[in-house]
Amino acid sequence: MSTFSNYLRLGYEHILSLDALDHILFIIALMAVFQTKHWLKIVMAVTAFTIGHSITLSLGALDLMRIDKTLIEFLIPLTIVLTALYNLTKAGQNANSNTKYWIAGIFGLIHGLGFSNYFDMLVLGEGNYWQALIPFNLGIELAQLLVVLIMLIIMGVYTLIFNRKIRDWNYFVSGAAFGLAFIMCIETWPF
Amino acid sequence: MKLILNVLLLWSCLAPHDFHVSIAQVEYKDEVLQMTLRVFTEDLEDRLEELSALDLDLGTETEHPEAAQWMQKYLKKRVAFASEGRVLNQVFIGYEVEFELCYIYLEFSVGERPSELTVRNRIFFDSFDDQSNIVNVQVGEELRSAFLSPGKGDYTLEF
Repeated sequence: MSTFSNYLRLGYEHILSLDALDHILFIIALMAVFQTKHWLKIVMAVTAFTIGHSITLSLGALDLMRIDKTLIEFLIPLTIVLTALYNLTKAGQNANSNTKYWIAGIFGLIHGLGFSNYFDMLVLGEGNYWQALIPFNLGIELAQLLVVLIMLIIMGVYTLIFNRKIRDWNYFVSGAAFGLAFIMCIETWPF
Repeated sequence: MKLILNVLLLWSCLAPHDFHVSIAQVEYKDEVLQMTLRVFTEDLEDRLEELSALDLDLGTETEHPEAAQWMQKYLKKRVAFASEGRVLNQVFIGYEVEFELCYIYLEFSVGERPSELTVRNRIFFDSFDDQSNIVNVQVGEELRSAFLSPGKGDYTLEF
């Protein structure tokens, strides 16, 4: 095997493991208000999330990015709480607004900050700075797109076959994401 | 109440981004495979302390004098190369601890340039069931990579 495919697999498997549930939960909340026909918008929002979190992951070595770990572990579930709450507002339910891309990108930056130990493992001692980082981040994106695909199928079945409104789905999913992330916020409360 | 406890327990396992990975760079030089193995210091210390029942304090001033011995013993069985059916002799060179990462140096005498190598790296399979160990091997111009996980602890590379 090549190093590329192995680092790709590392990123991919990492997202699909239970350890990365906060990643998956964020994506599910992010796409909750969209309908299946908006799949391209969902892919763009998830890609914005990946770009945001790749940026902070790749900057992990800079002292600038050494932000208090306990604070980051609190901020990550907070992004899910805020996304879920935003899904309840009129603006948040507007599938045509560009705000979701910005939310995904900016919250992605916060998620990437939680990866500082990944950076050390992937880069320090590696001959080439990008050798592991690029395939690792691509693997993360691939896994996230797989999550999107599975969720699109579930949402399609819900709206098209059971003939239910995506609004109800949004309330259900956002509520669940809010509940889980809220508990996590309490658990990681840093102040 | 039990449900709430379970949810809390679930989250407390998930909250810190656990990254159960080790990465090794191996280079064939002067008839020897030189390995630099990167592991998370915490993973290594936890495992060795469990096995030895000692306070090892890796990389600190109060490091236990038997730390290297336990490390050597742990790696001996778990990190290996075989070439043409012959298991290569492992030599423990030393290690350095830099905060979160521990760099471990090993050598394996192989002799002539190998055309195939079977790689084993089963460290921390006894700690985590989602451990992944990547071993990158450079022989001349050729770079090959093995991905080892509890489902597959050996991998054969061809050069």
